[in-house]
Amino acid sequence: MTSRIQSCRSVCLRLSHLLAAAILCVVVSAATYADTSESRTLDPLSHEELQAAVDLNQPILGLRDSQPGKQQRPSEPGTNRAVLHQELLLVERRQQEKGQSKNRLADVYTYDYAANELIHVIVDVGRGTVVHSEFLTGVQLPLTPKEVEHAMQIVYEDSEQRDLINSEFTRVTGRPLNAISDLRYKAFVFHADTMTEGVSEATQNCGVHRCAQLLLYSADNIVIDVSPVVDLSEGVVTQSVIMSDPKHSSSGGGISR
Amino acid sequence: MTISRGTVLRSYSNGSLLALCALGGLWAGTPMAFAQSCSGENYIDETLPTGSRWEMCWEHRAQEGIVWADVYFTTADGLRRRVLKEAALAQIHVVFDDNSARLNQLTDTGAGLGAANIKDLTADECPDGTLLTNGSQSVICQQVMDRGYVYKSYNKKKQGYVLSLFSVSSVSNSTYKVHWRFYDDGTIEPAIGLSGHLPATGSDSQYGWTLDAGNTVGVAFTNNYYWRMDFDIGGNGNNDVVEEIEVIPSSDRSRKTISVTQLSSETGRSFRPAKKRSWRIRDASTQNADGHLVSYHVDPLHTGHGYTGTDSEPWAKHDFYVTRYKSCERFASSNPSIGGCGTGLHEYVDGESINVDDVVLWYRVTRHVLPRAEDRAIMSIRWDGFQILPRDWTATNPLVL
Repeated sequence: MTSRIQSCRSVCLRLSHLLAAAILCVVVSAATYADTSESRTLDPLSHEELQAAVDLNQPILGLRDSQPGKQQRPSEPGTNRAVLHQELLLVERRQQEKGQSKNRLADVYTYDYAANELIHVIVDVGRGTVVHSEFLTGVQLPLTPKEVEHAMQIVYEDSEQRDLINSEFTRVTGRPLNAISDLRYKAFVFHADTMTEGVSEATQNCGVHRCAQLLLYSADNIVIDVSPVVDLSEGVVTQSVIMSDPKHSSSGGGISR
Repeated sequence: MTISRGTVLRSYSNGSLLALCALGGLWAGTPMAFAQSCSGENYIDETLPTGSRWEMCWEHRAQEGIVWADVYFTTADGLRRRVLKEAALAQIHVVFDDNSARLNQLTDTGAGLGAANIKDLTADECPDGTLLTNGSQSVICQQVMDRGYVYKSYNKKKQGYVLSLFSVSSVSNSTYKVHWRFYDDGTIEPAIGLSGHLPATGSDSQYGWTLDAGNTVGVAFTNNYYWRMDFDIGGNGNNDVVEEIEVIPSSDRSRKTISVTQLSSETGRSFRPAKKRSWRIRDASTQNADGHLVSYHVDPLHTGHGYTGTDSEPWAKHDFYVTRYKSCERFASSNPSIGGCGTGLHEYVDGESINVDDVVLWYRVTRHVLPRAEDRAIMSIRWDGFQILPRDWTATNPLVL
């Protein structure tokens, strides 16, 4: 009987230890979970965090826009194009210096064409606060799809450019260019100082102004050797780089090819 | 009864405890994993069939595409250490031979390697693999692949495996397959494959190669690929050291001696194939079982094409740069000069000490592409990349158990 009691005690003791161990492990695991969830600083911004970043950015843009003496962009006469005013370029999780706070921060970049400024705002999406804002000239982030489309519209509505592109398109494809949809296009931010020669006077502003260089292709990916540069800040084509021409014959100051 | 963790550990075998903890872990809603700085699909934890394990976080960014972070390697015999804090492509610089365009494709081009340019992969592009998603897009293919022999010597042999991770991005009319391979021996292989359409054609054959029966010339171009690797070896990321290793021939070239020079301040260095110049980044305190400091070795083996930039490309002067960590220094060139940050490598190198510090390596691979008729209509993929290998990470080969 005593041995059965002892055996029962032994079993009970082991069970109680097992239970205690299980509880301890749950506590440890839960603590780990809590710890990792707090320290998951590398997770990308969630949809809600992205929206919060955009919302927090808005008052800064409004404040900037209503500054006394701020020049509004002139409309682009003779076109149906909407005038580019401010464009949200990029929202991304802010990469912080190591050892800094684990707050969830986001960088929000907007371009103001009238002022030719990149507006950079750092927001704390967890706390819903603006941490920092700055206004930069001469700093150009990649183009948005809307800007690329806008640049192409500017090119296509420029009769001189359209004639040049049509001529090249016919030369390389053997058929006329009927519509903008016959062209495929890509674009990148253009800085005047990346070209060592053949930069027109109007193009010299590119870098301080926001400019796009377009690469054009036929629908079957044949390269069109005309590559227009568009000053998005002014809404004009400043030059067309003729690919494979070492002197970069240009239009905007007179077409030569 | 007072319960301490020690009591439990003494009372039960490891197996029982692990089982209990696993149960507890499930109850608490988390898997048994080391604490990481990311979660869900952004955390990769792969144990290869040989027993080696790789853990890492990843993040999609608009310009770099996929960025890897907190990369840990565990050897087959269970030794776990951090290797990298962060790693990614840091620029694709494309220069046409006729000077018609000079592109920084991560920063100047619409959306870099991420955002609208990263491709939504399908299951048939990722055979026997797992697609990892960013939002609604499948942006990474994760595969475990057979890599053939790890070693073979007489009748001793072993088959090895590699964790392969890739994404695909289209920039202009080029398609890039960005590949990272993590081997079971600790080797890391960043690589990039170029495909898509030839970026430019013209008619002047001095700048390229005639492609057809007419006079269509595929314009030749150079792709400079830059990788940024923030090594944080071991537990402390602030005590790393970079050494330059050269093999110096004697005057009669009959002997070769090893020269090891510690780089004390930020610098740019160039490949020297005649001296087999290479670099290793080592921890200042963590040692292997033999008392040697653990490190990773960058040994340039593919140096056939070189590049020297124009005066407007001072960042392109060298193949290899070492800088002190700064979070805003993300791109080799055309870096946004925000908050006083430099615009490129030439400005990052400003004399700061890298002696026992938090160090970032920048590595360039140059590829000149002379178009071929076979590149019409779509270029077959051209691969470029390099390897970084553990050196003295363990005292012997951990895969020979």
